[in-house]
Amino acid sequence: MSENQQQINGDDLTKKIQTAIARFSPRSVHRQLMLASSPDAAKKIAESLPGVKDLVEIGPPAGQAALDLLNQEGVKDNELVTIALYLLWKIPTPTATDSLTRSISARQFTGINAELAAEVFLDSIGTDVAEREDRVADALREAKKRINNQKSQD
Amino acid sequence: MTDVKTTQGRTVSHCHVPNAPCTRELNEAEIAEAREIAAEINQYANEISPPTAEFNCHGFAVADSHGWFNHPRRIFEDDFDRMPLESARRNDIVVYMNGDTVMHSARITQMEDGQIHRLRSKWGNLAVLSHSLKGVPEVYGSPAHILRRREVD
Repeated sequence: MSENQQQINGDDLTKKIQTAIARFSPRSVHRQLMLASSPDAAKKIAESLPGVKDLVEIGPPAGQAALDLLNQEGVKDNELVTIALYLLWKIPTPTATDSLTRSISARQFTGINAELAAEVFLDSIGTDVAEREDRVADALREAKKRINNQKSQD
Repeated sequence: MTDVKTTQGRTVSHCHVPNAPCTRELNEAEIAEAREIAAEINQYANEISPPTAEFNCHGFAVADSHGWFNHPRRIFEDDFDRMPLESARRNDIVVYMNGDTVMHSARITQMEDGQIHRLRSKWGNLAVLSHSLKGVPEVYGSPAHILRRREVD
């Protein structure tokens, strides 16, 4: 494939990702996710939303876009964050670990997002959790440990 | 986060707004929106108590509205017997599933001719509503089984 062709394919992919993300109307996403009573229910709702399946099919480049979306959202209690976390759960994205470490240790996620963030983070560092019920506490402990390790190395 | 214990002594984590990992309480605009959403989904559902983030469907159904339970599994397993829908009685809990995912739980308030007639349940951050067996959001899937509180000796 020529460099020019690769550039065209890359542009197509970027366009596909942007189109899929543009389908996340904050209003419709909000209205659907208002119905979620648990992290599992939120994931099921997220997977049914327009654009989400397209992004999962695209794979790693969409994972990076999900991370960008997560980092854009200052407040971590809204439904776009739920979508971003769902995508990072479906598309493991190594570059998400540092961002999640900081946000989890600062307790920026609330509600169902705290559970989803904990799951994505623990998966990303390869920690098995014996009981799903303990994920939030386990993630907080691991994130703080990583922050302290970084500080001691600096 | 605080804990409640099942009859088998296992802890069941839950939370209360505004303490982590719960979120904040709904504001007035969100309460109004929650009412709009419920009316759009089922115009025949009646509001029993207002929209709130204080508790979810599982908290309402199995713990007298005591907080938000993200993981009701232990309480389902330890304090309830799982039974077929056909054996339903008043005060049993109907569990709705979408594929393998537990999406929702609702308490039966009225039986008619051996059939489930009315239930009460809390839809996510929406209100506690009275509704028919199938009168819940489509994404909740289908009624899968019931849970009956186990009698303690």
